[in-house]
This record gives sequence, C-alpha cells and structure tokens, in this order.
Amino acid sequence: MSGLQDVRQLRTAVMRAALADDRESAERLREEGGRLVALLGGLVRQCRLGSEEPMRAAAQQLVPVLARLVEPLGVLRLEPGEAGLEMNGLLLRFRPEEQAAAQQLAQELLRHQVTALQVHGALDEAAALVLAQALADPAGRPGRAAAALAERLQGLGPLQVLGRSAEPGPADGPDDAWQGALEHLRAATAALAADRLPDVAALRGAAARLAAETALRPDRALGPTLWPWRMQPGEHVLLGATALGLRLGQALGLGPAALEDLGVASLLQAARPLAAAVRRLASPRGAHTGKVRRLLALLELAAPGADAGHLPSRLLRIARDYALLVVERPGQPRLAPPMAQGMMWAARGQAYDSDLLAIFVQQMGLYPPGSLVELSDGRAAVVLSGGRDAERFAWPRVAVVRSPDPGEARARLDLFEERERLRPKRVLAPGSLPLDLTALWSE
Amino acid sequence: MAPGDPRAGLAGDGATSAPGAPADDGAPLPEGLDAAQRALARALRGLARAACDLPGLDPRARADRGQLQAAHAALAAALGASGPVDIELAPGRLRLAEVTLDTDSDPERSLATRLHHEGVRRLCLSPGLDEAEFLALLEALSPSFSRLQPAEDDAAARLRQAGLPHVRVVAEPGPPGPVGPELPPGLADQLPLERPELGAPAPPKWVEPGPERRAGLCAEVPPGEAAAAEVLALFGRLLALLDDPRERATLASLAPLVSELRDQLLCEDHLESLARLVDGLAALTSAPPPEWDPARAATARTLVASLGARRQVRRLLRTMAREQRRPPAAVLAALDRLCADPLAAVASVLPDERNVGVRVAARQILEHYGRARLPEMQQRFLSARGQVASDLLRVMAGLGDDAATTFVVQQSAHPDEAVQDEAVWHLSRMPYSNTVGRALLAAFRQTTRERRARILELIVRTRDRRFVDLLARHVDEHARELTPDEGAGIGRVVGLLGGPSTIDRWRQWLVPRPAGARGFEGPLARQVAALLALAEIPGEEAAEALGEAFDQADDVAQPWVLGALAQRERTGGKSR
Repeated sequence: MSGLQDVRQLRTAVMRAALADDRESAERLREEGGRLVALLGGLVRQCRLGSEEPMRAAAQQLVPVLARLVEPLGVLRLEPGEAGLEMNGLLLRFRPEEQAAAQQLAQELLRHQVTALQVHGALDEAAALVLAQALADPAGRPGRAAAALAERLQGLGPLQVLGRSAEPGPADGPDDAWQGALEHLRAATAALAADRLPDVAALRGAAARLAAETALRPDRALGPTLWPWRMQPGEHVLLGATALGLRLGQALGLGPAALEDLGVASLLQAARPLAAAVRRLASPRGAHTGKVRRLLALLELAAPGADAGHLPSRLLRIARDYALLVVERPGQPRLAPPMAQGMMWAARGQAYDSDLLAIFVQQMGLYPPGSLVELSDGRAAVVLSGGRDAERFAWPRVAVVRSPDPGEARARLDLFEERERLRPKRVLAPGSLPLDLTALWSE
Repeated sequence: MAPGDPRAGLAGDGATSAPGAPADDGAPLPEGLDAAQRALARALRGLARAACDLPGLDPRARADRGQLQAAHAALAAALGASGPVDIELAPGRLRLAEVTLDTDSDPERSLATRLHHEGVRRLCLSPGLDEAEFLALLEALSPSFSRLQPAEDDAAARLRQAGLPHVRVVAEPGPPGPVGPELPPGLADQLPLERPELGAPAPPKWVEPGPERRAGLCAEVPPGEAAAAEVLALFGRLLALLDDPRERATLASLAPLVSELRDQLLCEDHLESLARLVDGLAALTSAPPPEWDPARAATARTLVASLGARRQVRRLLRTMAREQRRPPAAVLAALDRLCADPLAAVASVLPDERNVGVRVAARQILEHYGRARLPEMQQRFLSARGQVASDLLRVMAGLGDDAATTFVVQQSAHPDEAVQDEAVWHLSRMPYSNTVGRALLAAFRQTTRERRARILELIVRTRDRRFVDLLARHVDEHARELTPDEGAGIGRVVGLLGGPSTIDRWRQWLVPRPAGARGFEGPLARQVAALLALAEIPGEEAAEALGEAFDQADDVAQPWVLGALAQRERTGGKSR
C-alpha cells in the first residue's frame, strides 16, 4: 500500500506540511513588516519636509522595529513586487492610516530603480536617517539609479541594494557550472567577511548545477589540477574539494538533496571566525536539513584532529585533504596525486573513514586524474580518467605530453587496451613537464 | 458527479466552454477552453486546493483521503487525455500553449502566483503520476509560512529535490544580484585550512565496501528532515564552540539557533534526544560561565523555560500520532519536565488551534492532567466559549468520575450551542439515570427548535414514562408558541412512551368545537401532538380515536390526521 491509501505515509506528509505552515509567525512578521514600511515611508516624508524633531522621533521608532525583524529573518528584504510591497516574500498589508506612507516608500524604491533593499543587521538612528534621506533625494540617472543609491549607502554596513544588472546569466555551456560555482563562492566568502548573510539559495543552485556537471563529466571533477580556469589557490582548493566531494557522494549513491547539502557545506567550509560564521549562516529562521547539515559540517571539519563526525564531514574531509595536498598554495608545493592518495590510504581507518576512502580511491584509480606518469616506452603522459572499474583500476586513459615523435604529442591512449605492450613505469613530479590545460580538455 | 471527479469537464459538455462556465468550486473558468483544457484546468485547480489543504487534513478521515484521491484521479485523467503538458506560470495565471487555463488573483491561494514567486516558471507534467508521486508533489507545493525568503528550500528546490519522475520544473537561475560597489574579497589567496599531516604513502588498491555498507552510509543522511542525531550533534558542537576561548562566543548570540534545534526535536519521535538537549542546557544554568559570557546561565534558563510556551507545546502536539487513544508516556514525561504547568500549557493551545488532530491530542493530555484538578478544569470551562468550551467539556466527560459526569450533564442546557451539542452528545452515551433524565428535560426546554428533535430522540431511547407528563405539560403551557411540526415530534414521543393507558389524555386534546362545527378546540400544535401520539399507540382503541378525529377534523387538521393514519400504517400500529 502506498500513497494516499497509506495512512502512515499520509500522516507524515501532513505533519511535515503542517509544521512548515507557521501562519502565526508569518502574521506576526507581516504585521511588524507593515509597521516598518509605514515608519520608513513616514521618515522619508519627514526628510523631504526637513523638520528635524519629527525626523528624529520617526527614526527612534523605526530602529527597534527593524531590529525585531532582522533578528528572526537573518536578512530583511523589501521589494516592490507585482502585488505590492513584499518583505522576504510576504505580501505586506497595511492599516488605512499606514497606506499613504507605504505607497510613498514603494514609489521611492521604484524611482531609484531598486528591485530590493536588503538589511543584514540592526541600524542605529543615524543610519536610518541616512537611508531615509538617500531615498528622499533625487534618483541617479536612468539605468544607474540603483547603483548610485548603493554608492550613497556604502559604509552603512548592513544595507544592500539589489538590482538585476549584476546577475550572471544562466549556466548553459559546460564550463558555466564551474564558473558559476566560483562566482558564488567568491560572493559568499565576501559576504561572510563583511558579516552579511551569503545568498545560500544561489549557492545551493550552483551546487546543484555543479553536481549535474560532475555526474556528466566525472573525470574533469576528479582532476582539479587539470582545470584551465584562473582562480586563487584558496578558491582552487575549495572548488576542487567541492567537486571531489560531490563525485564521491554520487559514487556512494546520495540523493540530489543530500548532494546539494554537501556542495553548499563544502563551499562554505572555510568560513571563519567560526562563531561569527555560525551565527551568520544560522540567521535565516528555520532549522531545516540543509542548514543543520552545513553548520554541523562546518564545525566538524574545523575540529582539530581526525574527529570522526557525521557522513558529510567524513566525506568532505577526504575530498578537502586531497585537494589541499594536490593544489599548489603559497609556500606549499603540490604533491603528485598518486603520492597524496597513497599518504591518505596509509591513514585509512585512522584519519579517514575506511569505506569512504575505498570508494574515493575506486573513483580516482591508482593514478588519479592529473598524475604525470612515464610510460614503459619512455613517453610521458598525463592521466585523464579515474579508476573506472576493478579491472581497469591501474590502467587509466592518458594524453601523451612528451614523445620523441612530435606527431604523437597529445595522442590519447587507453592504457587498458594497450596493456600487453605498455604500462605506467613511474610517477613524475608535478610541474616537471609543461601542460597546455586548455588544449587538453578541448581535444 | 463529485467535486474533482475526473469525468467533470470531459463528459459531453461541448467543444468549448460557455462564457463564464463555472468550475467545480463555482469560480468561472476562462472562456473558450475546449473540453480537455477545461478538464486540465479543473485538475490543476484541484491540485492547488489539495496542496493548500494538506497541512490541515486528517489522514484517518476517509473524506480527506477521498478529496486527495479525487484530485489525483482528476489530474491523472486529464494528463492521460492530453498527454504531457508544459504549463507556464505567471502571477495569477496558468497558461498552456498561449491559452490561459485559469486565473486566480488571490496571491496566497493561487498556485501560479506562489510558484512564480519562488522562481518556478514552467511546470511540466507527464502521464503516469501515481498516488505516491502525487503526494510528494502536494508536499512540495504546499504553502509554507516558515519558508520565508531568503529560503533555499523554495518550491523550485523542493520540486527538484523530490526527484519526481513525471514532474519537471523550469526555474529562474536565482534572485537579482547586488548592484553598486563590490564587497572586498573574502578569501583571496588566503585559506584558513591546513594541509593534513600524514605519514609515508601506501599503495592503494581496489576495495569494495559492498552494497550493504554503501546503503548504511547513505542511510546516515536520510532524505527529508535532518535526523535527531544530526541535530543533537550540532548542539554538542555548539556547546564546544561556546567554551572555545579563541572564539569567545556567547550563548545569547547562538540562542536563536539553539531554539531552532530545540524546536526541531519537539516531536513525539525525538523526545529522548530532546531530553538530552535540555540536559545540556540545564548543565549550562549551573556551570560557572566563562568571563566573556557572564549571562550564559540566565540565557540557558530562558531557553529551557521557553520550552513550555504555547507555541512549543503546540508544535509537540502536532507531531503526535492521531491513531493513539491515550497520550504516550514519553510525551507526558516531556511535558512534566518542560512545562511549569502542563495543564495550563496544553489548554493554552486550544483557543487558536484549528487542526483536528492537535485538538484530539490536547484533549487526551488534558484528561490525564485534569483527573486530579477537576475544579480547575471546571473553572477553565466556565471562562471558555464555543469550541474550546466544548473541548474542555469532552475532557471532563472523559474523566469518568461522578462529579465530572454531573458537571457535564448540567451543561446540556448551556447557553453556548457548541457546548450544548457536546453535552447532549455525552448524554446520549451515558447510562440512563435520574440525573441524565433531568438534564435531557432541561436541555429540551432551553435549547433551540432545531436541537429539540435530537433531544426527543434521546428521550424516546430512555423509555422513561415520566417524560409523558413532563412533555404533555410542556405542550399545554407552550402550545401557542409551538409549530405543528414540533407538536408532531412531541406527540410521537409521548405516544411511544405512554402507550394505550394514555389514550384518554390525547382525546382530551381533540375536543370537538361546539355547536357541531368541524374541527377541534385549542392550538393546532396540541391537536397535531395528540394525533401523532395516537398514531404511535398500538391497538384498536387508538385507531378508533384517530377515525373519530378524521370525521371531526376541519380543513386545517385533516392533512395531519391523514398523516397520522399513514404513520400508523407505516409503523404497523395496529399489530403492535
């Protein structure tokens, strides 16, 4: 029995829906939001009139209301929507005496071509007055009005002006998933550094696209040292760890939601200081699965030593440590992938979960993607594929990168098919041969 | 044809809809739709309604399950007829290939508006969607007021994560980005992560963990809600963070998160974990705080105390299985620990709670605590109104002792109709006694016309002949206010209870008018009561009395006499 006949299954669905359906809180927030808008609209009007005393009085009233809203919401987002002013997706309703002030604020936002105004923390009276004055002042020239307002509000830390102009396009090409993830990673780390809530929804979308791309082209995900994109070493490690973690999760058989959780947790794992990062990442209300898992991973991965932790943390620890070993960082030359993997293999069961590491190694193969190997005939090649299966575990696909015959340069070989006459003879040091990474993937 | 019937809209209603033709909920569908489009529009309307209703449904109620099954059948039939559909979502509008299928301007009810708002632009549905998939779809589409933006679990994400094989969504890539000056880079080439310190390498080899082990690993991250173990582990990590002198974190700064974790465990299935979390918080109330967090103990006390708040108690009740007849011991133990006064905390849930299952759970728990506190329950009842008073009365009826029973019985004449209904319901299930009899009579005298019929049914079941005098006196005293129908109702009862020995009495209500005029003296309601009483009494004497009444009746009374004779015929009065 399944679906609608199964009372237990139906009860679970109803219970989950009922717990999420918190109208009481929504109504409270809606009411408070309406009040905030009315107060801010009124303050803008007072700024126009220039009467100082009422301005101060209005600002005094506004500050605590805003603080009460930001605390549960994490970030307060006001936007003039199709049906009226919305706060974090809730359509606000106003009392008759508040209508005029609310309309005024909506008009000011539209006049400044603002699609949304975000407040990441409490404002003091002075900041509230600056905001209201900026909204009351003439708008910038068309097309730049929102940016001009943002410039005026620069320095008022918790305020952020949103517009559509900075949004990157949808991911279409094969590289866009990687580039998108990189951009969102940069935005998230910058937001956390400024004590703002990163756009976790966008980060989750990026993780979902990256997971799809990783499933489509696993070999590319497994060889971060072969990536042709320009990025800082820190970003390279995090993106590499994320791709490796997603691939390992896929090999294990995790579902799409768990993979997205994993991807987001991986991209955010370097957020520091820890307490501030936890506070900020926890700020949007609701203890949903993704939030619990990424905070747990953040704290478990930051714990000293090889603390076991939950599955996402154990899995990400493997991916992260491998990326840390094979990606070059200032003062830390990269290790050859087989060497890095061998060191981790030696620590399995102690520093790493034995079974997860076994699955990781299955994916990577004896010579992980990015390994430089000398072949038994003297040619040198770079490994392009992972482990594939038990039979081909030690016989990857490679691209020749050094050969006495110039015509054979860049030739692709499947060493499993050539195993009767050719084998990897030894591992070469990374960087010992020049590699044209762009050409490597384009062929 | 039932609402949501898949045949609705497909059955011979012409090629196109009439202007303003109503849909199954009465709201008109757009003009110009053909039969298949109308069926699809109705099915989508059913889907939207079922998704909206899901949080308040009672899974045990056949009617509720029937509503969902009808909605599923309608959608399956519509998709079967039309094949895969690619529905475009715009605020207040559902479109299919340039045709507007449905419009709804209510921003919270409209599926199109809600999904569009959360980034979904197209919803592609294919035939073959079974009930389990339909239920998962409903859950993903159900409105939520917890998922306020910025929400990463918006409808687009929920639909994507649900992995529904016959449902595909096309969503916008994301919300607008920031404009203006860029933030300073947060990471640049710095990375606060250290390379692991590892020993000499060992050659790896292919090792297969096996399918069972793989499944075990996957089970550590179950789909849906985070496991209680994960929540508890995070709480443990937070406690460690609070004691880290490098971080200097205060409990107050993490209190919102701790509250959420606590609420996550406020579930019948996780009470053991909740107890461990409360233990952790309780330990903070007595431990000496670090110098950077002097208010830690006070914050911890507040967090523990707020567990007994109405909101938290309601959350716990919402998670209780409705199949249970008694509150589980674990829930009672949790309430004892979390609430200063569990009875007051649970009673505080009732006034605003519309969910039937929660009210049932609350009543069961109140019954447990109310047993030792009857006077307080009575006091709460007296200050309550409507549904809450009715709930409290049911609780007291469940207590079962004499004092509680007497109290319940006394409420059958309560001025509040909801309470009266509840009390009468209990009266109907109690063993008959003088107290119950008196209560029935009081209820009969004080209730509304509509409810009297139900009470008369109960009086018949008592077989207590003492009601004959009492009801007859009621007719004598109020005959001019009673309607003939009311008179008929009372007449049936006194006839059934009184039997042949009361025939003379009813004859006295059928005194012919003087001077040979046709008809009877007195109000019509009294005449009708007498006729219906005679109709219910077996034997020739009653039949004769009715025959005489037929001869004497005027035009007004005659239909009632005929009705009484027919009734007698139906019930076999002659042979009883």
